[in-house]
Amino acid sequence: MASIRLQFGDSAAIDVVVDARADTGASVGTAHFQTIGEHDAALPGESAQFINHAQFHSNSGGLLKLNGRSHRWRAIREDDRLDVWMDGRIHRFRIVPRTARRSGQAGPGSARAELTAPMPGTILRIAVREGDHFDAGTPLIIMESMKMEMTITSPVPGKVEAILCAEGDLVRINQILLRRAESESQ
Amino acid sequence: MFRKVLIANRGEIAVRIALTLREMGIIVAAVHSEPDADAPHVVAADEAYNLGGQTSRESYLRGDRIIEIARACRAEAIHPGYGFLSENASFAEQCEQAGITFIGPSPSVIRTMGDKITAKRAMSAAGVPVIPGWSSDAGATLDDATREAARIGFPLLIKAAAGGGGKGMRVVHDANGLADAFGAAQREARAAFGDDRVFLERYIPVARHVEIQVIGDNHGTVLHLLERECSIQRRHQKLVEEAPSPALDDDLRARMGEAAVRGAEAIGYRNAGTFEFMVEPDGRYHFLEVNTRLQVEHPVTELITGLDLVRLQLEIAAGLPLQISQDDIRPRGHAIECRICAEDAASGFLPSTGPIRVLQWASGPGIRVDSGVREGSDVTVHYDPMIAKLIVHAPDRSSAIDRMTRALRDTCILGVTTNIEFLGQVMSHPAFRAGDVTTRFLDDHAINDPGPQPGPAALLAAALAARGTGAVQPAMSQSGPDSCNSPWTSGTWRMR
Repeated sequence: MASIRLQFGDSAAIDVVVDARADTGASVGTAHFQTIGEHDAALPGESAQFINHAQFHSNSGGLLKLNGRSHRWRAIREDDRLDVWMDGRIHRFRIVPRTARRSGQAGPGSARAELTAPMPGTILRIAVREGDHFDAGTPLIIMESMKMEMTITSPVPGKVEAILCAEGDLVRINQILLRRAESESQ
Repeated sequence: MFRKVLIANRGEIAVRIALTLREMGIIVAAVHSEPDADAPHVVAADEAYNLGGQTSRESYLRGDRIIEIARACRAEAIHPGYGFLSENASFAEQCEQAGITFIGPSPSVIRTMGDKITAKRAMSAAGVPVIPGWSSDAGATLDDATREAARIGFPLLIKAAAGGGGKGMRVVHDANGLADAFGAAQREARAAFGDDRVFLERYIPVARHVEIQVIGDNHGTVLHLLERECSIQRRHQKLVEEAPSPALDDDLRARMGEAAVRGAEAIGYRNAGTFEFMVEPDGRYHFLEVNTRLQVEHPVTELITGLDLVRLQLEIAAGLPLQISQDDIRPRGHAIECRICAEDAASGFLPSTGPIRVLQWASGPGIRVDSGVREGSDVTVHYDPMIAKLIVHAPDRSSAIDRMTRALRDTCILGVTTNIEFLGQVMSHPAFRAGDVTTRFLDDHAINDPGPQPGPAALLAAALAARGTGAVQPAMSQSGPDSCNSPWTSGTWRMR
């Protein structure tokens, strides 16, 4: 599972959530698209199944089958710029790093951090209550998406400051689920 | 036939000439500049010789060095390709003096046709229709120009008498604009060619550019190999060429072909050459100039006639008589050529430079690629931005357009900006499809469609490329392959 934030032209960013596994000469998986801000791209709301036959170097091109259509593509990357050729057209993207959210929040010593949904889906279970202290690796929230279950844990110990979702909620990608405070006692 | 031929050129044309030489069992000698040491035209040759230098002037324009190398490596002939020394009469003369065959017309023909004024005079005398005009003497005054302009009528075109191509051409719409344009043209002509003579002629705003390929041997036979339509131009330089022309019927084709042959015979033309004409909407045609060399767009003629023009050039240069007659020349199907240039069509066709990191050509029936680059080549400021030509052949014009559209879509160049998408837009333009083209096509039709925003497939491909370790990623981004959004770690997935 990876979420890539892409920007092109003057448009708003789009997060592409890819969950893929390698098959013989191909990668198979599902993709989900989430617009960040105003955008007029026609993107499917549902998760889409895809197969990418790696005809070229791994991950730099191939034959992509998505929604019943085949697309030939190649890509080159230079730092955060990504040029993708597909079916005779070249799209220029910028890969937007998520450092803004990460810095000052994720690392130890930061006072507060937000847990966001790494994918769109349903909240199956919330394993903690507000005020609870937890260790690194403790299951906090269990989500379901695309017929798969995922347990979300914290890399560092901490304290639950606020829970911003409820069991059974349908959440968007990047939606804030839980706010934590750094555990001072530990 | 020659045992060894030196190609005094680079890029796609040098590669293309080498292919025919190899088919004929002739040893190929290449020359190259410093940055071209391992260029495709060098790899395509049996022998390669370093001219030194970076720029054209320091390398491919060094006629003295090239003749020296030809003698040292015992090449019997030099093929000049197009551009560089191909229309340099002095170079052709020096070759002759060194006992090396220059593959092209005689130095005197190159000289006469290289000057627009003498060329026009010679063609007018041979009964080839020319555009009314006037050529200034050296040091002519504005008064002279004003008097002649009144006779010719406005609008008119003003350009340097020496030199070729579209450089320094100006359109003057009325008498008020003449003074500035005349002075500027004189200054430019003096700076570029050391010769301030300029040329005025009636400007024909709406016309097609149609040219006739001719070929003459040393035994008095001159044939024409039909026409090429080259109206799609930017900055007076051709971008798309096709054969046959959608505007010519059999009668006009025959009349223009006969005019070109008449002109070629009158000047004792031998080897391959091109007579360029403007064709007005009513079918009137006017001689423009003769290109005394192989043309960039020669492949479209090769495809519809089934002839190898480079082979014919070599046979003629070796003194062999033409084995074909005019009746043998019949068009078969339709051919289109697109010039693939490293330039940005969206910003006024400015040349772009850089490395070609991905290069993937279209293939399949009726597709020909004449390329001077390969994956990893660097497109530099030193040479022409035209890096390759994509040429298609199909039974008729409509299917040729379909084929070219497909070929452009299947061609991928990443790293340096090219005009491939722009050419695709020309192909799909209704006016082009209708054959309704003039030299003003790109002025009349705004072709700069940024296209739809990337759809899900392109976004997903980008995400896959961004995510991967990426074999073609020289510089790893700071964010690394793990751009996962959450500062929190996700647990293990399991299927339900």
